[in-house]
Amino acid sequence: MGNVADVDALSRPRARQSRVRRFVSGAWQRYPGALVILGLLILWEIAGELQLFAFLPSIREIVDAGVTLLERPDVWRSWGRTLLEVFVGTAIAVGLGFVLGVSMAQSRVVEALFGLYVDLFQSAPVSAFVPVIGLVFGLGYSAIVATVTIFAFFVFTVNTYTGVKNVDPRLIEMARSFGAGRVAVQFRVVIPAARPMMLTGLGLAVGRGVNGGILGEMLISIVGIGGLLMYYGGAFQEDFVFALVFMVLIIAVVLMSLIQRLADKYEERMR
Amino acid sequence: MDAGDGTSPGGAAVVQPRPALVKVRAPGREWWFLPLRILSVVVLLGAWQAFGGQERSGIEFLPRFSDVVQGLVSLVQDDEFWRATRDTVQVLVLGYALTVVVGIPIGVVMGAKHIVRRALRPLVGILLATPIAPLVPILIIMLGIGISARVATIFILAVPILIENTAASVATVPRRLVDMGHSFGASRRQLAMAVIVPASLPGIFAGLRLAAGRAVVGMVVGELIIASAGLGQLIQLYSTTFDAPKLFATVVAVLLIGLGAVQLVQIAERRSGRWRR
Amino acid sequence: MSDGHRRVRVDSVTKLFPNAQGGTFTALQDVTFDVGDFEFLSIIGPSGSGKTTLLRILGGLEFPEHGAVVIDEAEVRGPGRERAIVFQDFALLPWRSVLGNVVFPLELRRVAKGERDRRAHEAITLVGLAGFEDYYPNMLSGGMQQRVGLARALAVEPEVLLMDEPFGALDAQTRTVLQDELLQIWERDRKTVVFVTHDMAEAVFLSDRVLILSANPGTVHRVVTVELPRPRLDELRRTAEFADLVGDVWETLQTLTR
Repeated sequence: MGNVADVDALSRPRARQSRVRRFVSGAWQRYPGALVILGLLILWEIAGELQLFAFLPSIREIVDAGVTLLERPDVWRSWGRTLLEVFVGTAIAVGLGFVLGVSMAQSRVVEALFGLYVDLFQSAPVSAFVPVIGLVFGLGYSAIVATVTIFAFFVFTVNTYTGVKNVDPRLIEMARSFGAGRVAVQFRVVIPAARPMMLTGLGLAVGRGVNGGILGEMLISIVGIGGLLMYYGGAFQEDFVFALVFMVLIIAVVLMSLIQRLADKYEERMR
Repeated sequence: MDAGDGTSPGGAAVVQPRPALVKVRAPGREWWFLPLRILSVVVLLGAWQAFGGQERSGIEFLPRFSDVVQGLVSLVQDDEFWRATRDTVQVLVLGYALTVVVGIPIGVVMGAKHIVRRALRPLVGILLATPIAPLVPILIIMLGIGISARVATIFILAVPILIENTAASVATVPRRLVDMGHSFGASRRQLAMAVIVPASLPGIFAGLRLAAGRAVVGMVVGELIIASAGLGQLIQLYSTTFDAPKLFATVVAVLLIGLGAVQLVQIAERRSGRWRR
Repeated sequence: MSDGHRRVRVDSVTKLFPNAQGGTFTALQDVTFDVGDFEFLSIIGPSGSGKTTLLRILGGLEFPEHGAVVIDEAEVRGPGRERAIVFQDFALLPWRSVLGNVVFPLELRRVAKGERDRRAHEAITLVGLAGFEDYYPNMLSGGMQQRVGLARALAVEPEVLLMDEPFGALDAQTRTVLQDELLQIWERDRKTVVFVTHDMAEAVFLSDRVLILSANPGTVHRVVTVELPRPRLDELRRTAEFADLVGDVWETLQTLTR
């Protein structure tokens, strides 16, 4: 009997422990990625509160700074300005890139005329142009828009080009066999088939556009979010810098993943 | 955020070749293709020469093409320029080396171990999407304006793409090749060295190429914002003194370094991949 | 038990796989059969009968939930030196030449270089690829690629050759040619062969016995003994006896897929 009681007494905490362990290992199996990020944030918070590194603010301080920033109307105005610049610049890039990408993929003449530049600048560090853009476009609004455009243009063009180039020629033949003309083939076969690729390009273009816009603001005219970053960086207010970086990161990731989701949806439907 | 987590049960995460970096097709066989291409360059440079050097509506200032060429010539004779170039290239090499040394092992482990891949992919995904420019002020605060902040900028920008590509290519080594090695009694080490690494080499090289491109971007962004040394400092100098020809010329030099770096990796890639053709 | 002719014994092998609903799916159930010394045995069955799984278990790449495979009185616990697999999709290393692919398993076994090259050249000559040593797989036709796969398996001088639908990816004419050549090689250097196929004529033409698996779950449905004289030449394919045997297998398979 005593034996049984012993076993019972021993097994109860063990059972609880194993339940905890099961929960932990279950969570680890299910959401390992989220746990890694959560763990890093916790480590960051601890390091920040203990002031282990001279310039590392804690998460709490960063959140406080973020709240302070969000209460200030001039910060909202800066966001408005930056996002507008990114929107306009990306829209111009997408418009131009669509026309150039589609026509380059379909016409060897257009490809001969423009392919070289697209090929060169898609992998070149376009950031090097930012000071030049300041020189050419002045220090105003148009310089930042131009920066965004240049950052976003080449990715979108190349994606459009590749998407159109890779359209299954059998589909085009099929459409022709049913009497589709050149225009109908373009609008009913080629562009819809290339759309997932273009959307992927759009996602990348927006990411680069955000990057370009902020870099332009930092280097050319010290306005908008880039301007705020330069200001707080120069003033060594690292909690505000981190808060802004997180805001930029969240907005960029949200925008890009929304577009990617749209792209995935198209692709799924085409399978 | 990153849909890759949990949506691919059991299966290897197949990462499509990055569409953004598909190479635009090389000149074709038409006799007129190359002449037309040359014509387009000539017309562009001619238009630049004719249009530049004056102020126009909407344009502040554009130096003429010949001015830029002159700027380039005087730059090449300038010791200051070569010192800056050496400094820039040194930082690039350091940052890239760090990227390779850290990125490939992490990528291989991620590719081989499914749970590690699932654990780290969201983090890598966030890093891939992180805009680099706003991080530079933080790096300045933490590391100062010396060489380490610039190396860190390169590393942060370049390492995620290398990890991602390495992991994806290791994870997608054809199952049948692993089985084959296994069936002939290969040990884990033999399997890794004789099958998995060579089979994933094309993907790793693609990652190295993309990482080189991003490393160059990191180099430029870091130097433009930090502007304490290297070609970035020269660019800042010439743009604040409105020395347009030299500014353009320095930018051209930076672009050439970038293209050269990517080209080097591509040469190595082609050498390693003779069997693919 | 004391039957010395028995080289491979498959003893009530059951193999389960997890299915999409979180349950299990029985790929093989209580599969039992023997393969004699120097026997050529084919395994045929409808898709889903687990024939490839069975071969992978024989090769030591998968393990049964119940039962065992015993080769030369030793239970199979993994890949072994006495066996070699010829894979359905060739599984050639694209970055290695023909010679490089054939020496690959010999390198793994740390065979000395001279010996390695000698054995590889011998195997390459045997499969009719002499002169192609320096070619890369993607320069070869499918038929030639599978000759490399066969040479690679022969180079390790296995006692048991396991072939997983080796000619399934080839066109009909190439397949016939390779069947003839495989038999010639086998006549010269007899080995125990387990040959998985979905081609009835192929199974009958090559084998001493044809094992017919039923599907869902895979079980041994019937064993057909092929008593056609050897050496078998191409003409055999046009004889009435051959047609009868193929017809017999065909009818059995018909009842299984109905």
